[in-house]
Amino acid sequence: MTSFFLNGKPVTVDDDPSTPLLWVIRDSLGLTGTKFGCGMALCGACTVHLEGAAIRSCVAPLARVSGKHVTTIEGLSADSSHPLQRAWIEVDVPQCGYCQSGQIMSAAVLLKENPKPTDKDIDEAMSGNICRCGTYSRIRRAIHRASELAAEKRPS
Amino acid sequence: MNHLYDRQDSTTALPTKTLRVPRRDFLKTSAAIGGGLCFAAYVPELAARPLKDSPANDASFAPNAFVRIAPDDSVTIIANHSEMGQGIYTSLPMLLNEELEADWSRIKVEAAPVDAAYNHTVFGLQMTGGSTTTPSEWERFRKMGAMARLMLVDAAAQNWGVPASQCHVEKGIVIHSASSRKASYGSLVVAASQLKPPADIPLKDPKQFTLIGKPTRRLDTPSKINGTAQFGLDVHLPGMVFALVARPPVFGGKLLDFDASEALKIRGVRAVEQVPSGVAVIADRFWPAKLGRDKLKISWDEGDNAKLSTSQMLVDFSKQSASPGTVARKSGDAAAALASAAKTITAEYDVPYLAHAMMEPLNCVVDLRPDSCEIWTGTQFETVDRANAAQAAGLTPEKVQIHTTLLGGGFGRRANPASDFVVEAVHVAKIMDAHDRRPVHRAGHALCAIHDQQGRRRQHIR
Amino acid sequence: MTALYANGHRRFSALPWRSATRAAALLAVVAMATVYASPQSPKPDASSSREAFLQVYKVFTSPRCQNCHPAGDSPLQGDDSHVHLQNVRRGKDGHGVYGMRCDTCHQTTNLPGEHMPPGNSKWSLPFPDHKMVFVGRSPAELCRQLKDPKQTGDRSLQKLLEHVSSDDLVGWAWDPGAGRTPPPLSRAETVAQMKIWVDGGGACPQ
Repeated sequence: MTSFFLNGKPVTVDDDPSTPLLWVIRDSLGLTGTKFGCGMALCGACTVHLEGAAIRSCVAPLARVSGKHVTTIEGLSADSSHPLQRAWIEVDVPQCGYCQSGQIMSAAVLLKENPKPTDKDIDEAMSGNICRCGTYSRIRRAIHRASELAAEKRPS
Repeated sequence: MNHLYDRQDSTTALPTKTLRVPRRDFLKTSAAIGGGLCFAAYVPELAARPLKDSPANDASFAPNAFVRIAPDDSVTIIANHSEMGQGIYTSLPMLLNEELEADWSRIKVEAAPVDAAYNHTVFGLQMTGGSTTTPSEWERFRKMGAMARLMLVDAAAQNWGVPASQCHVEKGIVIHSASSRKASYGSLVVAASQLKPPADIPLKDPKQFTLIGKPTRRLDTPSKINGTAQFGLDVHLPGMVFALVARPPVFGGKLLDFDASEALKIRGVRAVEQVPSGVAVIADRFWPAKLGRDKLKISWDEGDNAKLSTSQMLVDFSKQSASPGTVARKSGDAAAALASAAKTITAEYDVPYLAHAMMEPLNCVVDLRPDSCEIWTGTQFETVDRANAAQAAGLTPEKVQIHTTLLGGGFGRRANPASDFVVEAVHVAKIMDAHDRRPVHRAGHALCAIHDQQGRRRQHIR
Repeated sequence: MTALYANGHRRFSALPWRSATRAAALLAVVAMATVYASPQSPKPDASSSREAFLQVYKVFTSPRCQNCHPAGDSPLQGDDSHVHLQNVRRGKDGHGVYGMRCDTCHQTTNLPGEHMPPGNSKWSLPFPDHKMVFVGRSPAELCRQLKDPKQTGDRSLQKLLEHVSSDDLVGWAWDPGAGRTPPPLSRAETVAQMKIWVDGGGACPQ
């Protein structure tokens, strides 16, 4: 049995500790917002947060998260109100949408550490997330927009 | 059809007779006709009536197969083309609502079941591809919207005892200005359902368009930023099992022998069986199936293609490029001009093999029962998939239903004349059906097979 | 965050260690001077030292070592030492940037299968202030660089020998997982050759 916190709630699963976190989240715990793209840490679609840092859940064994806090796209906000989610809607970022959970989760770590990123910062932070539709320019625009939205929200 | 997807493989005949219209010729023809597109295979009578088993028939108003209006004013538009990122779950509603004039904020989209009513207006089968959705539905979707609006306005006019011509519509509300009377679409669904569809359906002059041509936010974005959007891989049925298939490492390869003893030791692996495309590992979850597949010991006859290599192909192409080709058009004397030119430049260009690799691996969920086969998958080729699945299941196509999910990319890979990823899942489901005599499966009959293309993908990504 | 990443090279270069190495470096210099002053010593001569360095050089410039000692700020990958996909960057602590930290993908051990991310609990690049570039260095250049405390983060040759002989991340090179060729010499042979080089005064090829 392995216990950890998923989106703030304690969960316990009986999957083998070597099972990638992705399949625990999707198959055992039923949250399918985190996507399976390559299974080899090449595409970024499975990105989640472990104690606030981004990890590729498709290669992270369940044992790694034991006792720790994991956040998925479903836990980023309760009502799609995270500045990134609002910006994603405003800029109409997604096309097929399959990579977008991972894109947003990576962008969330960037903004937390660097509230006003430059284009270069964005490129460096987001290069591990592939979008086969090619929405990169809108992703960049939306991250800048989310940075503004977050700044508006912060009390001055 | 092959032209549509840039496929050179024409060994597999389409099970359905189709019009062979290359995309560029189609666009050329369309452009030549100008205002009115020629819908060779469009059967208006089919589209213009609701499906027999439509859920609409209870309380909603469903004047045709493409739109349904509920008493709560919500409008469901039935999309007969697949959303794979190109945005047609927004552009098709835009076409329809341009004429329907319902409140845009109340529009919902639903994937169409497989039915002749939803066939492509040009190609004569239900499919998405070749960048044809918007041009091919340009007229039909507007007509379906206009039909619904005319009937709703008629219903209101009859209630009020005024001529329909004196009424107009604003955001899903029929208004008779002279008497200041108003009725929402939702309040008119019962009355409108009693009316006969109009024979003549005039469409707006494009100059009057208020939605088409205007920047409009996509309707599918909210679900794609919070994890609720459902792709094929997200379909989880109670009691379903997962399968991964080990396929030959070379196209055209054949299975010689396999040893599943190690795979069967993995906790969660239920069965390992041969299927026409390779060896299927069936497990309770994805991960044990993957571990089991990794543990298979298989010997393949890789066949003639094993000798094929990219570098040799490039050499062959290079040689061929130096030989005289087939003349498409001759104008002037190029050979003489080159011979007498002061300076000639020679260059060779090549591009790598381009895989139709989508972000979402191919997958398919199948619920196979003695007299039915229900399928959930992200496909671009519903009619063809249904025919191929029916053949594999030993059922008639009418017994097979496909639920089209969102597609994590398509790029033509999900329009496969052989329906490889659907047929493979049906074959796995047949195996599970045989195993189903064991008590463990009796409770939940739902059956699923998922496969990915990791084995092949590995060869492309390093 | 700090707790998560307070391993590997960060701990290695913590301040107390630095002052300790300065003292050690000083001692080493004194020791080396002694070596040069006593030609009758049983220690290897400059020529053997140089020869040994050329052996070590082959190891250091093999993909398993040089891929994490690149010339720029991107790690390299594979037996052909191509630039790491995904535009991976060194970052302020050698562990990457933002959501692109090394341990975003790399675990504490290798994952089974070819083309799967290799792993080690210290997986990282050298710090940006002493990048320890191996790629593109000639034997003479690399040799001089290893003896320059400014470029090694104040590590003595003895400390560098320890790095090669006992550091866990360095040891990964000889257990690199499927699809990766280990260095041309075994770890024991590499350490032995390096010891000859160091004991022989760290002589550099011309």
